[in-house]
Amino acid sequence: MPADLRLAARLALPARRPAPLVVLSAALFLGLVLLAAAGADLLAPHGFAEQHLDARLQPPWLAGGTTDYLLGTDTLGRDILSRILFGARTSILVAVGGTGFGFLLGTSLGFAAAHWRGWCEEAVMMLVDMQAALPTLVLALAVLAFLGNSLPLLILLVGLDGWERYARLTRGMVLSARESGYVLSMRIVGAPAWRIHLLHILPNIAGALIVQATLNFPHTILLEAALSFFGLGVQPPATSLGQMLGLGRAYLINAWWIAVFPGSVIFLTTLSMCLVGDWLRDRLDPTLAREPGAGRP
Amino acid sequence: MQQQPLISASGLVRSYRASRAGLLRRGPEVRAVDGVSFAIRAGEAFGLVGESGSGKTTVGRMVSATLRPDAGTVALLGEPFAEPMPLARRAKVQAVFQDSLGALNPRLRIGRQLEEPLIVHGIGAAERRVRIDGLLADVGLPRSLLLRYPGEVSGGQRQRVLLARALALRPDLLVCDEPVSALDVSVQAQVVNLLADLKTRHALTLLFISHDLRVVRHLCDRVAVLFAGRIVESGAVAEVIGSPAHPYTRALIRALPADRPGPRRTAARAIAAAPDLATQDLATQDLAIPDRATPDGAGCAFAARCAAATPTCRRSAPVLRSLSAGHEAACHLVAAR
Repeated sequence: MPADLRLAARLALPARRPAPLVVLSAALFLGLVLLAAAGADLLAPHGFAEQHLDARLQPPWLAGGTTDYLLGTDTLGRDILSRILFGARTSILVAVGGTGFGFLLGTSLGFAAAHWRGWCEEAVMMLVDMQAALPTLVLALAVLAFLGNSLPLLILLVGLDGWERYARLTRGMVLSARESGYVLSMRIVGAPAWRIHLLHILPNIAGALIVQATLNFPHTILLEAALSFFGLGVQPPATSLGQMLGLGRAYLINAWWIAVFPGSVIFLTTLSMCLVGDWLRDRLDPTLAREPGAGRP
Repeated sequence: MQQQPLISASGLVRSYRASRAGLLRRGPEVRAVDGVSFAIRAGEAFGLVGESGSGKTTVGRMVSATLRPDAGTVALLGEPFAEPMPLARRAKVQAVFQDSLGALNPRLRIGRQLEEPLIVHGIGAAERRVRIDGLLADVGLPRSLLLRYPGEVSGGQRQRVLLARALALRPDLLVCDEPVSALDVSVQAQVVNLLADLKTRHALTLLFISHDLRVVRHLCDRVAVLFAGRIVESGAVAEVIGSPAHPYTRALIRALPADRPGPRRTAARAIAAAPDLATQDLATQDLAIPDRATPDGAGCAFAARCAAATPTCRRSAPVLRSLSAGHEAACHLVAAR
């Protein structure tokens, strides 16, 4: 399409309705979390492993503590706020990396299965069934216990959880899209298979895949939290939100802040992710966005 | 020697498996197309008519090499036309389908979809812009349409977009599968006239698939009538519609609504032309979709609906026989003249 026309379109189009307030706040929150995680070195008032044994189990500032430790301290006198900042960095890295890995792996295998029917499809679907039947947590525990712990391995393992859902979803949608008129039209033109898949089918199924990813993302965070909780995830002195949650569990009655703050960050991050993902899907779909009156109260 | 046809189909056969009957048992095979042969000369408009399920679309898919025949071949200028083949050859045959909404990618702007064939064929950006402007002028669409999504334009406009896209690669043969059936009558006429116009202007050869004899009569030079996956009659449009030989063709013509109020002159004349069959009454409701679950059942597929069917018709299948130059019919009751 000519560039001059594209520009004209952008100018001529009526301004889209702004995103709802909930979505805006969710996006804002996600942005803040990302920023905080990225800038943890600058923002954190204390080191994440720095112990202040004279200031153990300090309550948060507004619950009778001091401004030295805004969100209180844990059993070793480590600053909760600083640990959340650094923990969020690890958790987000693992969750984004894991979700991305699973997404890529599952989507590619799904496309492959739909394109090369026959033995390739059989093999992929067999793997999918195996993965679906295997409790990921147990598999991850076993692998981590045998191979020892490292961040890349952890990302790989949490990524493996859920790839089969992308694969199954992708395969089904690609198979149905292949029967559609627009794919047929591209075949008559002589478009190569990669072009049909990437440029024509992928945008049409991306909505469902994005939703699947936003559903999977919280799952990945929780899996990392569970592994760290069991002591096989992120190893101290490094920290993650899940690990903090696990450590704080024993002190819920007398020092609630150790678990509640990282728990809230996990909860709000996953919730925001879901909200933004849902909105993104609607926004990315021109058939939804342009329907007259769609989404208006 | 006769001029070599642009495209020729010989002995095309394609079966589909009916829905699976059980876990271990396979469903019966249905022969959608059963030995269809025809040849289209360059510059000709060839109509393929038949009711739903007669195999028209399957023939169109096979001719455009998007469906592999179980048997038989399609040849373009004498050379087999089948995948895999070079892009330049692929471009020679393009197609337009009935479902204009389905044939366009809902996620891509129309401009991009018109550009896509040109990109695939490695045409540079400047040349693409010129060609797209030319295509828009050809089909009479405004440039502003390029920015819209398929869901935002009317059915008639979409059909024009499909035409433009099919013409983008400057094909020799255009396969049109029911290109106007989904449109309302006034728009139908516009698109048919446009098609006729484009055919002349671009020296196109058409394979026009339709169930609408009136459109075919208007647009085509020759026509073949398809019934139950076989050609039952073919010939010049004037002859097939003017003096139909096969009982099924007659029934189709009878079913035509009158062009203007008054006696159905064409049909009446047609029936009168063959006194031996004039008495039979082929009401429209007799033209139910034939049961083709038993494709190899002996006899004429039309026998069950044919009022004039004889024991011979039920015993052996008729073959196409020449009635006059270029006019053929497959019916035991039609003797060669």
